[in-house]
Amino acid sequence: MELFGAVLNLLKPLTFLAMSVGVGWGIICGALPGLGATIGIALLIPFTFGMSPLVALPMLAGVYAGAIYGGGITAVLLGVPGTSADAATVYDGYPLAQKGLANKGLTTSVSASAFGGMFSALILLFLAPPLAKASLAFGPPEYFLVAIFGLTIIAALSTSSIIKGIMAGFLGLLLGTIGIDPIVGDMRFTFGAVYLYDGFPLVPLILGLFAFPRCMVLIEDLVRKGSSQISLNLDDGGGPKLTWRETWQMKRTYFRSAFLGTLIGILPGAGANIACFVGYASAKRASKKPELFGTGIPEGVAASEAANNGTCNGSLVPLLTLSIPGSPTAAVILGALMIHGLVPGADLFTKHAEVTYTFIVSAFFCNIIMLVMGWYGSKWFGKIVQVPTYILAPAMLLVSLVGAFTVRQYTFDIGVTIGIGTAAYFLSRAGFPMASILLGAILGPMAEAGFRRAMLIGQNDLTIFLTRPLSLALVILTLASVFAGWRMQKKSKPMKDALSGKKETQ
Amino acid sequence: MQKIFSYSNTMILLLLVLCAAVFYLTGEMSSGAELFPRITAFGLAFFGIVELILSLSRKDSMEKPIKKENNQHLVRKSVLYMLVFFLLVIFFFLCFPLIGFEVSAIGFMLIAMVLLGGRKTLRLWPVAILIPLLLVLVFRGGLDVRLPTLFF
Repeated sequence: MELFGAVLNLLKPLTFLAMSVGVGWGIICGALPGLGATIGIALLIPFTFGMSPLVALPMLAGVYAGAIYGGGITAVLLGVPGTSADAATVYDGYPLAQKGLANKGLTTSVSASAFGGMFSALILLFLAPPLAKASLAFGPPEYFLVAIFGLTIIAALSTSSIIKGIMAGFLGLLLGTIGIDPIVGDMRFTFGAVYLYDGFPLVPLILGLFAFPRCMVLIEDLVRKGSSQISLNLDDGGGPKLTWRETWQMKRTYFRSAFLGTLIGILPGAGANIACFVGYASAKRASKKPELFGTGIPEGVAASEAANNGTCNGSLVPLLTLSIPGSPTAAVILGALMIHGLVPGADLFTKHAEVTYTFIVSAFFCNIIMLVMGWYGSKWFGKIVQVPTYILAPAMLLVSLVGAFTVRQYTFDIGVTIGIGTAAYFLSRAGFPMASILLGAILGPMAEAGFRRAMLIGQNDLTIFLTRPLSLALVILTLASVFAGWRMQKKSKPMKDALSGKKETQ
Repeated sequence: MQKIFSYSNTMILLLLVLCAAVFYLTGEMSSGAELFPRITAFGLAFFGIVELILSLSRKDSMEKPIKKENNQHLVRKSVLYMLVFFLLVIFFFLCFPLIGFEVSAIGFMLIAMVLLGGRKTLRLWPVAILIPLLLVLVFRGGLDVRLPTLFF
């Protein structure tokens, strides 16, 4: 019943328009190196603030899907992935374009992305509701530990050091303590500012952590490296598009990569960055002619793109059920959900069933919109990379500052964005991940309330976190994620050194 | 000494100062409200000290200490540009409630684009006017957000 209602909601003109705008905006953000899904969603959140969640959330779902695909456009046309999730697409996408088959690369990219996204949306639809029921067994100790587990997962994704990731999480938790204490109602760290009584405003925080530093980095790069004219590989028209027959011949690759991507997305800690390589590598291993991979074959593009878009909705499974974001972008989506009054867990699928199912179903339909847009318009989206940085950076900054004002219409919030943004710029340069800070700030109140209630229940006995089976499981998972993240960083350092030069965009 | 005050370590030292500030500011709280901020500050300080020790004990430090780069003049230029841009943002923040969004945003866009190397007047002016007007249309017209204005 909720499904039928969700589909009807999506057929409304305003919702359909919002999804289309979201997908288009996402493709643009994905195509522009240095932006990506996280920034795209962060910049769009203020625009959605006044909208109904039934319109806003499908729009954001569209941004996520579009951005991961959009990075494939520049991967094919320029040999530069727009997002780190499309790194493996370059291996076959760019050679395809160089052979004069850019259209084949672009249409393969969009069809595989759409398939991966739709596949993972179906998994999300069937897996999330039963998993959400598991959160009914959570008590205060579990809520605290889920927050800590989520923070360690995101810290493990830190590109520089897991310790810095953990520190960033603690910093975020500290930011979350600003405002009224959730148990006794005392005022903390407000310094008399009325604007901070409700805590740190979330939208200015998101914009300050992500959009503001990104603008400063764009400016820094422009001054140091200068602007260069980008030419696209489309002088000869781009060649023929992907045919149905070619698509059918790659069906195993589509399914395999979509499945792998979805699984990787569901597992907190991995992300689209890894999925594209895993999908590519497994397709190469399974191929009868692996030597052709890397020379410019559509199958290589399909393998990477189906996997990376599979992670989009896969990462929403732990997010919607347990408040554990499967990726930094999912952490920003968590912020968007909270802004619209939706708290992940069992209530999402009961009290807010209409909104939740609309969101999930929109994650499916956005991929259809993306398929149409990408099939006919990817060349035009590719031209967006030719927008000069001297226009892009100030425009983004302006949108961020206005967006910060939009939510409460206090000029104070613009100051928050500037202050947080400045600190974030220096912190990100020092290797502190912004997603950890954001997640700490979002989950901080829940973590504190859970911790203090657990202490009250357990009469200040810390063993309450170890004697309950679910809590013990979460403690073990937290320790395992820290260890796994440390191991992953040690192993991936040589690969990162080889790929250095591409900035972290998610 | 250079290693202690590398960029990353400097940021960690500043965070340690923040932790000390948290302990100081929560000194007068006694209702239990001070507990979680102190635990968090302690965690931040603990891991900060661990990271400091690890970075000082690394033989080949992952992060290069502040050293002279070959294109030092570009680095100085970029720092100067960032500073000017930051002042421009502050200026926008101060002018925004006084002279309204339209005027402050158009001024911000124009100055920013010229600073960043935009020279084609035929492109600068339309972009500087169109983007703010588009934002006014979307926010004030579409989302009913009361952006400050000079005009009424």
